Amino acid sequence: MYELSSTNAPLQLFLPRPVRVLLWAITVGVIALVAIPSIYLLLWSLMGTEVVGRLDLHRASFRWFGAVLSSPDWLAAMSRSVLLGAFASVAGALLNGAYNYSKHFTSLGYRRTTNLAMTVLLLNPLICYALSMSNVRAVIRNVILNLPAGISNLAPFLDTMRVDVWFTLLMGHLAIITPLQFLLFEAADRGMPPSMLWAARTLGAGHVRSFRAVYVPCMRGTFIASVIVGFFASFDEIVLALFMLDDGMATIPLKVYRSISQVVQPHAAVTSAIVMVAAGTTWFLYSRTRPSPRFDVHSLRERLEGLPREVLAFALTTVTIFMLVGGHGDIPLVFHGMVAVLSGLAAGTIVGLLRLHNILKLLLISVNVETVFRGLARAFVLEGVTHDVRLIKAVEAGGFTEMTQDRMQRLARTAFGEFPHGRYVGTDRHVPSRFQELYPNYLHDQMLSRSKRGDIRFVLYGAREFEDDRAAHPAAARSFVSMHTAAGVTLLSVPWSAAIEISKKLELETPDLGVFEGRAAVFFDPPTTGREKWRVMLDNVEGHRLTQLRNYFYELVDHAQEIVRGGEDATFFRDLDDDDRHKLKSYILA
Amino acid sequence: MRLFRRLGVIGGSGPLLVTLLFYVVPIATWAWSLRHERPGQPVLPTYQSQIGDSAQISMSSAALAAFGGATVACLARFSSQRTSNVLTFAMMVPLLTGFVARNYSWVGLLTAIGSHRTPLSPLGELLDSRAGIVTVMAVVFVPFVYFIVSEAASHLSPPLYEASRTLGATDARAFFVITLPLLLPATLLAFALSTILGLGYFVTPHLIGGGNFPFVANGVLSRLDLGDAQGAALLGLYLLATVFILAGLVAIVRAWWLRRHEPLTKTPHYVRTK
Repeated sequence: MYELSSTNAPLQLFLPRPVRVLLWAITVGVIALVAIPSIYLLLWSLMGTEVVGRLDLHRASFRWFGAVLSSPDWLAAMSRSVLLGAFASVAGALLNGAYNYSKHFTSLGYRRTTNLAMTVLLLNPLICYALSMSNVRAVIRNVILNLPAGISNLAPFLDTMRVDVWFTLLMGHLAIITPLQFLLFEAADRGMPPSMLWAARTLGAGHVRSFRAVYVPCMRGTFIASVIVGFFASFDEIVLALFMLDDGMATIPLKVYRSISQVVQPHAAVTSAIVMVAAGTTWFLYSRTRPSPRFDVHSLRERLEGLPREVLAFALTTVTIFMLVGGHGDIPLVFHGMVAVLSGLAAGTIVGLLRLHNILKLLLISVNVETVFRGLARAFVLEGVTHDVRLIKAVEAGGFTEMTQDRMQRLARTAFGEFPHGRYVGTDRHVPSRFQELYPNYLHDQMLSRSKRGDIRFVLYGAREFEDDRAAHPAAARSFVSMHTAAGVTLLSVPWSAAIEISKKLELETPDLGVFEGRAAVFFDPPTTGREKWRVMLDNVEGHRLTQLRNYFYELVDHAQEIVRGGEDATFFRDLDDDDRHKLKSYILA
Repeated sequence: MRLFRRLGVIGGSGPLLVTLLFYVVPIATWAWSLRHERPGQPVLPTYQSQIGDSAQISMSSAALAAFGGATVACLARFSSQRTSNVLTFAMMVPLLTGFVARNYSWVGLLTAIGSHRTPLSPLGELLDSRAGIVTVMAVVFVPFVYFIVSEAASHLSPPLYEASRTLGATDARAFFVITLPLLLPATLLAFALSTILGLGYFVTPHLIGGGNFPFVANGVLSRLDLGDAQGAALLGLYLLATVFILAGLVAIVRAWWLRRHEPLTKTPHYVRTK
């Protein structure tokens, strides 16, 4: 999130206004041309009539979806495309991943040869390739029909299953999507220092272990991204299908291509809309569920935390639509289900899209692109702490943003996950019992998942308040002190009044804040009760803010006592001497 | 262990093996099998008559796409991060839609526009016309150009413009003297690659052009429909050769350009080092 500050913002200053106006005028036209077909497809699928291109603007419905989804032909075509795409994309991702790992140990000539091979594949006119693959299919078919005596009884089965066709198609799709996935891995690889792999080898790991334990975890996002990109590239492939498949075995693109001249109903628009929604939904769900590699410490449940709102919308819409559509008799049940699920997916996606900035970030961050797909790679590989839109907005707006306690806790986890190794210096105004009420998972989230040794926490209350709280909640006070001291956190007590005064003098937004690795500051304005919204603000620690925070902490140190844990339940408040203060000051934000 | 090592070598050579086994071998055997083919009708005249249209339309659409895509990429670089993201999103929308679907959508859209009497109805005549093919192919190429030029645009940095201001140049002059020349090579590369890709197209010329402006690839399909498999194969071979010759030329020109515009950070040849 801290990298979100616009890197190209200064360039805006150097574009003269007339040129900017001209560029905008052209851009609007280009975007209109680029986006209109996609929008029109969606409209066509909902409002299409039996006349090509004519829309019935007063009758938007899912009836064409029903026609397609209840058509065995179209469903079979869909399943063929999905299966083919799945096989080819997974195989391609594995091959490219293995190559991308091994290239770090090979010669420059080998890499150049591979680059050249990929360029050839990219520029290759597919129709020539399809012609050549027709020969391959004939050879495979010949082999099948002339199997050796022992296994010759398999021939009829293999022939019936059209193994020659599917095997050839799989080969062809692999050749088509491999360069695309190759570019994805190439782009992603630039963000991964090969020294990690060399280090693993130096420490004695074999290639297999190094690949499995170092490379795959680092490139996990790229593997998934390449499967997705490969799948949709394969799904969209038509040329090979045109040469290999007859009408009875058509894939979706082939069926769309042929249906244009054969039928007038908007079936093709419907399938295209389904694919478009599926593609968008896949990207979206992926972007919502995939954590940054730096979040590995979290469980699967936590990774899915971002989903509930979308899932709820999905479930509610699915059930509602199913019940509504189910009331009207003569449509097959499977169609009811599919329409309901489709609507649910759309609803979930729309709900999720309300966090528009997030999806934009993930889908579209890709500006530094060498090729089309390098952009996609960046979108997945460089996903930072972008899981929360409000956080990002808060950074950009430079002010407080409101959020629930649950969300605030997720943000805190995110921040701790983002800066897992460095020092955390924070203040907190809550006595132990209140602190544990507001941060029920604090121990798990922040203490166990990272080393806290070296952290400093200023508690903004004095010995008297602590004693009062301990009298009322002895267990909370005991665990508060023990979990901090056991983890190596320095606990310092500063009276609230002093903290307020210092923060006002230094014009800080709130005395309650945390600084991560001296780089990022989170300001908290907690509610008085757990049910109210929190107000949270983020800022980079640099320039004036750095000076401000440094002075704040220095003055806090001047007013601080150290909280020391004694035996059993005993806790002492120890005055600091000059040497202690000097050490602390030279340690905090040094 | 040795088995693992061997498997590793095979796995590590995946893309190369795919190219070799699934591309080079089929193409080579196919091309070799054509050496004695006698097509039903002479192929060369067909090739000569269609390559002109193919090249002309491909170049026109690539030029349009280069202009549009480079403009958007340039604007994105000179805009805020948010605007840049939105523009990138707009460029990615078609990639999610699918190639055939986009062509299909254009057919419906142009038919719809042409069938209503509105100020836009003349646009309906783009269907079955050369201009229609050029437009739709250009729209298909725009994202491709955008991402290539974006890469070049990412190297534009404020110090260049600050220096130009210090030297007394206006922003307008800086745009024409710095921005355009720096984006030109990438734009030309995108144009060349789009042209080469366009040569092999047949879906757009078929669907949008209505068969009136056949590309070489359409010629291949037509011959196959007529049962002249040998002729189709030879025509395909000519197309393949054309594409690779053009790609080779582009590579040579690019290498020459890069040599000519060596980065200033490289040690000049006249600096002798011990």
